[in-house]
Amino acid sequence: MSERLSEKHEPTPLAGGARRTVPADGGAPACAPIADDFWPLLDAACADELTEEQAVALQTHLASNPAARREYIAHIRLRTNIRQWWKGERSRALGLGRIEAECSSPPPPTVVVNPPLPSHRSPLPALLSSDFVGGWAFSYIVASVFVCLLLLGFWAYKLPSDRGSSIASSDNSRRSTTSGEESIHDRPAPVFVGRVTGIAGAKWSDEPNYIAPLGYRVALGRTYKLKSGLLEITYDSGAKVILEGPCDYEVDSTAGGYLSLGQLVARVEAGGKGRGAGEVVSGQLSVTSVKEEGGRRKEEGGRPNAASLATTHQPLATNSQSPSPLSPLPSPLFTVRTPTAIVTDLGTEFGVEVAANGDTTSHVFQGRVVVRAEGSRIRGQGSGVRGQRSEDGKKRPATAVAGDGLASGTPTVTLDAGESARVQRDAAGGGVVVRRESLAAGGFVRDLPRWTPIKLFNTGVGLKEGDADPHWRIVARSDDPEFKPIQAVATSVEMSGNLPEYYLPNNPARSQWLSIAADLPKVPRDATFTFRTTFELNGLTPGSAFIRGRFLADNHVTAIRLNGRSASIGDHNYEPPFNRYCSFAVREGFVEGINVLEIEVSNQSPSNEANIPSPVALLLELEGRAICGGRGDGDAGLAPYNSGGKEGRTTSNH
Amino acid sequence: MPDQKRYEEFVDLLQRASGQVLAYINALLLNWDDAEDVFQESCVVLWRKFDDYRPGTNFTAWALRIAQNKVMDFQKARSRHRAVFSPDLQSMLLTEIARPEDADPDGLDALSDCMERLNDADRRLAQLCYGEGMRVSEVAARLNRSPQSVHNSLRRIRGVLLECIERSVEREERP
Repeated sequence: MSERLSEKHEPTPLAGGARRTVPADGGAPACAPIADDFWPLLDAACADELTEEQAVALQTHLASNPAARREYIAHIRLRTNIRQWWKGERSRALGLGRIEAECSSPPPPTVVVNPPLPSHRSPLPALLSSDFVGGWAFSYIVASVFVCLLLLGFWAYKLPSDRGSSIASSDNSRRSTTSGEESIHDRPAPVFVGRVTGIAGAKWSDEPNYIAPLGYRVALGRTYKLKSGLLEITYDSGAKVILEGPCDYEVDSTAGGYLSLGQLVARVEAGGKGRGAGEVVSGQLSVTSVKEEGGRRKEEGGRPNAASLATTHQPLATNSQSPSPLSPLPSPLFTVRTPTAIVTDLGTEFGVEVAANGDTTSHVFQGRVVVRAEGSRIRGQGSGVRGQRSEDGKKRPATAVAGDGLASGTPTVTLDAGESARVQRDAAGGGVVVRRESLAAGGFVRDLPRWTPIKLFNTGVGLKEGDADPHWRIVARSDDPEFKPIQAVATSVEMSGNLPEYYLPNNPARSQWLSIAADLPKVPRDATFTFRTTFELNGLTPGSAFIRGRFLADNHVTAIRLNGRSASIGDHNYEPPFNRYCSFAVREGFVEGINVLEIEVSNQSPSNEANIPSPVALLLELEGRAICGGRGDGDAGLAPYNSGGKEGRTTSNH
Repeated sequence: MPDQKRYEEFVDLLQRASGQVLAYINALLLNWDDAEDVFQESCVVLWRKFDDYRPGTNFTAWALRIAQNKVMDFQKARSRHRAVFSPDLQSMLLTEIARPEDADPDGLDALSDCMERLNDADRRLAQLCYGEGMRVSEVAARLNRSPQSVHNSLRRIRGVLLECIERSVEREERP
């Protein structure tokens, strides 16, 4: 291996040349033909199936023939792009499928009607809002970059030392290092036990500015300190926990964790149903499924630095063959441990809450759990099992296995669906007691709120020219007080005498121009038309709703109103060609039930001083989302949707 | 806390370069899952070292060099990933992929359009083998075809897509 390359930034003389032309450098003439046996090697490389021998042969071709390098790069880049494109497509599909399932009954289903808006040159916040952009593949790439960037960069780099230690200094966790100074591979490889699969308004008690790592892998030993909000972790086994802030949770096992404060809900379904394949509870991008659905898992077992403990699920959501290095005892069962209790899953969904004094409350939603009190002295029962101590000296209860009963002398209680128990320190001091209690289960969050698409319609989508648009009406005309509202009509814009690109052509699959008639009628200069569409927010949280759109207008949009409340409009032209979109966003003014969106289009044009009648038309594309389910008014927001970008810019069009 | 403007500048540059960087790492590692991991690690380093970057100079070239070092780190740490490509070849490939005319941040736009133009069978094949990463042998078995036949189809599809993308980009560039 050669020395590392200098990373000092210096302008690099880059080879020029036309796209996919052969440069005159390297070990062969630029026009040297590519040998026939190069192509099967390229096929194998693109298929990710290159053997060692083939790799050596490929290197020979590439090192000696610039044309082969050119082809190789072109094909690999294409292959890379296809993978990223498909990820974007699938993330959108996953999100929609989940949303439809969750909001179908009740509240009423909401589906996306319009194709997602492209996000060319997205501003930063939009880059982070990959879930909103949905199918736009590139934003997926960039979002994944920042998932990693913010996780590794901000956590290990910025956080206070105590936080850093909980995240990055474990022998089993990955550290970020500065290239050229220290390699991450100089340390033991991390052990990953799952993924962050859902985030809702998470704020961190030790790093308020940290942006949650949706989709990123969860390393064994990592502690999540939530100040507020929700975070869902999906273990590789399929088990899930939803943490609700404030809480401290350490992922100290492939099959559980240590909850020192706050509350969580764990879901481990019995009998294999919903386990193993990474059931997507969150409705957000499930990286686990993305990673594995392709039919090819990473070859974890063959790697000395296994990056994941992918597990089978016998008998429950873990792999007893792969005990956690941090877990006091290897357990085949999913277990949540607290300062005073061990809650062991028997195939169920249950909640655990730990108070500041360590008292633990457990509630079973479905199935059965065993709650075992843990303490140095159990009232009335003498000494119990001594909790083990972790490296930091913190007292940790030993992991209990269902069925071990009272062998240790520690009291246990088995809870069935609807039952609760509290484990608390005895007022007399020292010991802990377990009491069955009747608790309201409403205090636990069992599902993450979801960003749900708002059912919106682009102008003219799915129509033929001349068709009335059932979703858009023209409700007012400034030069006609007696004007009766009519359905807007998909109008042809291919007028004789117009320049070829006077208007962006209609695209029935996406959006079309609307006007008062099919033939792009001319109207007086001073006329202003009000286009109106309505949409519903049933079952969605109005305070969380957001719409973004882009429009083209002949001649000018003078107002955008949601329920009578004006939204800002970016600068845009009065004059043709009308082929450069203007973007806008609406973040306020949403109400439960029916919402009214109005667009005022003026026919005024500064150049039309003679007041000659001219066409008026509007083309508009919309998409929007709101939170479905969960608590609150959505102020906290969901991580993927913190848009607030530089809307209103005029962007270039196709 | 990083300055927001600086942060946005970084995002913009990274967005433009990320396609080339990820493809380059793929080209060196020949393993798509590993490549994504190294890509993410490279992005972290890029951000940390962003103060070293001089505005107005070639961000992509700088990013590619850092990515190359991360690939070397990765290969060194994983014995089964011995350096398949020599450093010299890695540098040659870096030069190849860093061509300014190949900086095409909207490449996925063109690809998306071109994918839609494929017939259903070809599009599905590309999705399965390149999108989802299924083994060619598995896809072949599913389709009751021979692996070689699937390879041949994929090669043809790649050719069609490359031509389509090239034409699309040329149209974009036409005044």
